[in-house]
Amino acid sequence: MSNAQQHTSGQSWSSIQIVWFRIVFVFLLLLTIPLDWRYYQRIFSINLFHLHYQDLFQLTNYVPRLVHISDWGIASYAGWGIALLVAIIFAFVWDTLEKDGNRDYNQLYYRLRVIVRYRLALGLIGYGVIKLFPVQIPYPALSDLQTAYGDFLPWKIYYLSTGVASAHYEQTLGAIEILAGLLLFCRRTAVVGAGIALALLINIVLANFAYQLGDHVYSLYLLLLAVFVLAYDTPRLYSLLVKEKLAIADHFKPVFKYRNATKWRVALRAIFLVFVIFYASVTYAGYHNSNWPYPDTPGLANAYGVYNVREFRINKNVLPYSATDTTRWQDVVFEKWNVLSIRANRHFPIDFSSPSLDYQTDDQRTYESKGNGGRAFYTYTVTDSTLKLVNNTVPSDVEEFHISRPDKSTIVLDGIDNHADSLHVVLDKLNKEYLLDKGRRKPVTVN
Amino acid sequence: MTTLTSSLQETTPAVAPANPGVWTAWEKFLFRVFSIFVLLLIIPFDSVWLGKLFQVKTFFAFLNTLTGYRANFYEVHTESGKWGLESYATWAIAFGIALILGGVWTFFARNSKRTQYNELYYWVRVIVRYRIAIGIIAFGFLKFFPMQMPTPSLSNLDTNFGDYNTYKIYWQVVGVSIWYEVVLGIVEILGGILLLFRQTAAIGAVIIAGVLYNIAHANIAYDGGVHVYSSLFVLFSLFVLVQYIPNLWKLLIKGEDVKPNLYYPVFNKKWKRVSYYWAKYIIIFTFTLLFGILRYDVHYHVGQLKEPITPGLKNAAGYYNVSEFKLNGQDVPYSPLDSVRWQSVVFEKWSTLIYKVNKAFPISLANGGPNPKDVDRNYELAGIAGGRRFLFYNAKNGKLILQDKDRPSVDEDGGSAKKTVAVKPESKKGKGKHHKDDKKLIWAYTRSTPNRIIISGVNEHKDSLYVVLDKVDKNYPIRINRANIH
Repeated sequence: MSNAQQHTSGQSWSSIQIVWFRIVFVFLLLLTIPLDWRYYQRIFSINLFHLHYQDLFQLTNYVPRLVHISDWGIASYAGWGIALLVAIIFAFVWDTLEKDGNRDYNQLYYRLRVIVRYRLALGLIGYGVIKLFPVQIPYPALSDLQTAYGDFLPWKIYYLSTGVASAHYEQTLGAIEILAGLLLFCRRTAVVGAGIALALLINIVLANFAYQLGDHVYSLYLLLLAVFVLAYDTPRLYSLLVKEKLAIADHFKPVFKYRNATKWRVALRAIFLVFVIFYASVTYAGYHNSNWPYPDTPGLANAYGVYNVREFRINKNVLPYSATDTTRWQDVVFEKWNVLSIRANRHFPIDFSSPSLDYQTDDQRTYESKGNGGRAFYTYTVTDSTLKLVNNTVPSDVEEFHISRPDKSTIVLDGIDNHADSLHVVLDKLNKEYLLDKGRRKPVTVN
Repeated sequence: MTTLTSSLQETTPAVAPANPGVWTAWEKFLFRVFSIFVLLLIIPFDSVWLGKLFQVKTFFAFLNTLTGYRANFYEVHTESGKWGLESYATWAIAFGIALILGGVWTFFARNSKRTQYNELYYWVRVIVRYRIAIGIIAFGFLKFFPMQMPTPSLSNLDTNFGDYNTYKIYWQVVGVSIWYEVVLGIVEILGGILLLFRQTAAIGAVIIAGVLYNIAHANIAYDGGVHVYSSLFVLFSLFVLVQYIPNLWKLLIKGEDVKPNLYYPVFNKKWKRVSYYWAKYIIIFTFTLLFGILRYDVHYHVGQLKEPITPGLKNAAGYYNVSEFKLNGQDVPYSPLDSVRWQSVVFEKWSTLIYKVNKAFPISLANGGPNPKDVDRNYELAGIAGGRRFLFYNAKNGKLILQDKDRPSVDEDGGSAKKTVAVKPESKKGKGKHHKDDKKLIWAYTRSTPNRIIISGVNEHKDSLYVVLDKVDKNYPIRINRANIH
């Protein structure tokens, strides 16, 4: 790839360069062009009247999955191996497929760069917008604050840690991603955009591996694209900055055989720009009007808070406070939305899936329970004085309680849990203050 | 239009000078102002710092202090003065002085025949480049031998996320993945090394500007406390980059061929050449290789660390349930609401014992920097709440001699001249008093079975304690590798 860079139009390529180029050409196209019918199925299944930004995000986020063996380790890159294999085969049969032997590879290289630039820009803007309007990584839920640091999966720690940043840190990172994307739209500024993208993506790829964020294949793909775009200008940058010798600018002029090519190029740019603006607007509206990734359904009125489990009776036996009992609840959190979470001295089944920006209806939004091994999360519905709980991670765990609230800060639950034991639970709201909210600017005394 | 001698176009980088080699009046003025500005921030005038520099006990401490000078002309004693915009007061003052001196210089130079400052500009850039390199390489080694952000301790793993201060969250998350921290260190060291050589200075400056911008913004976002110092590296990197921008603009954006013609000094005498290279390579050797070796030594042999190194009770490290708790002979049952009865105990692998009660304690808001004595190594309690009390102990003949670890101490990070303790000792009233004669608790301990520790003794309120601790194996999800989940 690095051999095939600095060519102004008119220069001819050596046969080695041509072989290298063909491999890169086919490889990158196989990883970029949606050959998968599911992609189009997704496009056409988008409900334009109930458009959600996640639908648009998914369009920017698409990578052909040629094969799936495993989500982790070297096997997660199996699709790349296949693409490379196909690319190598193609590179050698190319001659027999091509009738015209005098192809100008500079022109083809340019076209590949355009595709890669636009694909990279789309990927960066896709992620940038959901950071600019922070829906990707929200502020932690109250249940998160009531979970031990060690009880999270590493990816969740990374997300929560990013989520508590102030000073528009996350938004600024998003804005930089968008800027890099916009710079990639123009040929002259593409190198700057690719440079910024490279810096961002190196960190994103490293973080993906370090914390198992789950996007290591996609982020490495984008990094590859950034390197590819940058490679075109690397020799002249090397001449200018390192060798301090004459640096030849890019004098390449694309040649188009078709009459309306110029119009099409303008139209293509316009479509991209409109898409970006549209996507950003829809995301902003979504961010503004919705609680995503948390559910929108409000929780029990005036119940938000952390509760001590003052009394716990199981089948009429009182279980006193205990650090070791595996049945007794230790504390309960009512979120602002219709979710409550319970801590007890036992291992809860963990939702191991990665955070997903797929569109989810209210009851499928389970961001707060993902990657949390310290609490059991239940989505609840209240009808009259019946509280029905459905476990977010184990859907078969359904419990029903009669709820009464003798005073503002007390909630009493009576009912049957999923082991058919009858429970009587008295919850007292705690006046818990968090160090997280106190900061370090003034002396703090807090529990 | 293919050459460009003058490169000082801080305001109008797109326009090449009419006559290369001759600077415009504006260029000369801006050069004067900005050179004085950066030099004011680099040259140590601070007598406190200089005093500290020559009082250190080891050669490494001397070097380490040298790498971390932070100009401090004026401290605004407000919240913003420490955490916000006003904390950049020193910059503003330096810039004001630079503007005045630059103006005076321009006035006296008004009849000068001098057409350019190429040579002076070159040497100012050298100073700036070396300042960045020396400072950032020192910081890089802190991560390369991962000690800046230790792995979360057992008691920290047991602490609720909401009981963390933001700055501790920011450091802890890096400590969760040690190899990630090492890679970040390598990037900082690499960027620094690239800045030591003129051919690679531009690339180094780009890397350092990017990395340190991220660090500076994060420090503001999490109240990390070193936002001013990390911003300084961004400022200096941009200063270094300025001279390359016109050429880059022409080559990439305007699409013109460029033959760079940057000024470099010519050493026409042999002794000049020899002394230049000697000076250069002695500095490079000292602040890269030698500094790295000494940092390694300090880390792994001397133990200048954020975490204690004295081993704790043998085979005791772990999380313990408090099975029995007697206060003055009276059994107190477990309760999450009790402010005296212990809920759980952690023995770290080093000599710290942490017990948890339902009580508000003053929180250690220090950075928890490296300290020579274990009792002062307070990273583990920095920014951690949840009713935890951290006790340093000495185990001797079945007795634990314990000291509260939440005591004022001085951080020694990166050779800062100032105390970096977020809360000044006087604000922790009463604490300073028993600092000198630290109250020590003496408890007896017995270990009837490998997993049980029984503690008895008198607490600081003269109440007698009898505590039975039983070890629990905790498998924290944070250690789960998702690749192994099917």
